[in-house]
Amino acid sequence: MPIEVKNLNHIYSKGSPFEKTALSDISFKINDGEFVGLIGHTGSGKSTLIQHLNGLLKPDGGSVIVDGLDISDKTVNMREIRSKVGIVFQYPEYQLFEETVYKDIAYGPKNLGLDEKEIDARVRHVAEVVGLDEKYFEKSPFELSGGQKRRVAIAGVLAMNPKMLILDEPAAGLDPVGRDEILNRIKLLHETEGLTVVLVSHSMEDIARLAERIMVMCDGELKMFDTVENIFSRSAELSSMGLNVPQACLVMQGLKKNGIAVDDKIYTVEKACKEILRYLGEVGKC
Amino acid sequence: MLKDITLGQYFPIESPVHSMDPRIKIIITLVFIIAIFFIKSLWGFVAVALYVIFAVKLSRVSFKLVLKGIRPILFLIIFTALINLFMTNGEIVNIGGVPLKAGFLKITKEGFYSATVMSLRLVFLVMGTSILTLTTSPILLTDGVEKLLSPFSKIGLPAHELAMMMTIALRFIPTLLEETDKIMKAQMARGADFESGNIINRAKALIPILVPLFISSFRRADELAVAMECRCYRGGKGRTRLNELKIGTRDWIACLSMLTFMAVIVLINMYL
Repeated sequence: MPIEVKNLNHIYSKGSPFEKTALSDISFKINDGEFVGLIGHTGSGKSTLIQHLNGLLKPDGGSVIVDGLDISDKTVNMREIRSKVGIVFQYPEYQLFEETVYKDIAYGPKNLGLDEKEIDARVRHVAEVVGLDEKYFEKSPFELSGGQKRRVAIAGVLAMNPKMLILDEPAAGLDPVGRDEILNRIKLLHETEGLTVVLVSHSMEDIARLAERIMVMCDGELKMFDTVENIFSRSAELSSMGLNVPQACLVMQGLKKNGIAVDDKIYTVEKACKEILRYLGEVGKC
Repeated sequence: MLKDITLGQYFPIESPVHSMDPRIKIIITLVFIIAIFFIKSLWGFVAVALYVIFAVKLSRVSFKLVLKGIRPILFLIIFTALINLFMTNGEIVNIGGVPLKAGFLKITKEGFYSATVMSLRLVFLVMGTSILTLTTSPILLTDGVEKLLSPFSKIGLPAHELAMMMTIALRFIPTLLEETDKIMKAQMARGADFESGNIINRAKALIPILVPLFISSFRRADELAVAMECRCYRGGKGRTRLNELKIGTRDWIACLSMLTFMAVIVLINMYL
């Protein structure tokens, strides 16, 4: 289920003195089963962009086509689009409201008008996917820890059975173990179920580790959309946009600059480690 | 969608009216309102209109914006005018020898007059208060209210606490709107529908918004209380402020203009 965005524009408070262009002339295409990272400094338009992908915001110009359906088309059923494209907002645990975890996860599928059996199957399935034990089902979501709450919230979106999942900083505010756990689950979901994922993150390390392609936003424009390697090789441009490259990348680039013949197109710690060992072996120091 | 709701009416520009002391502005507005209710003749309203036009020009706020305040109470104005027009006893108007009377409804000269006076009163009332709220930021407004009420703290009126509550409430309205917008979107992303269905279904659809909103409001209130206590907030007693309100020449001139206005109104009432 590809998503195609053509010349998308969005202006907040149009016609008032507070008018602000949030997105200008954005075009791209995300293919089936891709894992795309979306980066950009705060206020660069990332959130505005992702809200267009499932029709929460409507374009002021251009079009967004989800699986052949134009979201500006009034005859298109929005629920259908929203069941295809799931969005997990930042701090999604604040959207929990039901008495029990089970009911909260079931809220989405219930809105889709599914029958009890299907809902039950989905709830159990997504709970397993996010690593939530069934013993939590009858608890109030407000009794859970932060990390558990977030799992419930993500499960609530997954229960819509979307073909594409957009996550806005899903790991923000979690402890290191919690964040790795959540991100690995998402990666697994992408690999096993072929889910298309768009991950918004400020952590270049996470993006480098997980994404296949990266979108770079700056001041409402899509500045780059390329493979991870190509993006992180443009570190000077990135830092001029208030962004960074992964630390491993910086180390490798620094080594190369100082005349050490290592590959500088490396962006994860594991690969950097291997490459340095290879180099040391080559020069006979290890 | 919720971002389009403007909070209060404050129109942030610079003008002699904007930089006036909020206390003086509040007092002048109060006096103005009282004056409006003293006026008996239509000539008085000419004076009021001139005064309002003068104030609006001075404040550099567009007339459109000032008049916008009337829209929400337009129904009230029309309703009052009609009641006055049809229900006042007096000399019944004849048009071509036909008296305008049907059952208990009648149009009288007195009714016509009082309908006009009543609607003008309401219109100018709203315009006058609009000038106050358009030119004074909510924070200054509460500061002004606090100062004006502070003499009453001797008889047990918690002026500072009231003002602090107002300030906090105002401060959190945009935050809550933003939060509501966020929660709404999150639930819409889960297939919630707030726009269709009958009243009961729509009310039910609000639960997924209200529960998270209440929870986060309580959390925020708690955090704010802790943050205030961490900075040694102990209530109003002995508390100094960063920006003291000062009454300057401009404010005295404004008071003078108000007094002149009052004198004109009294003279009109006496002689016209």
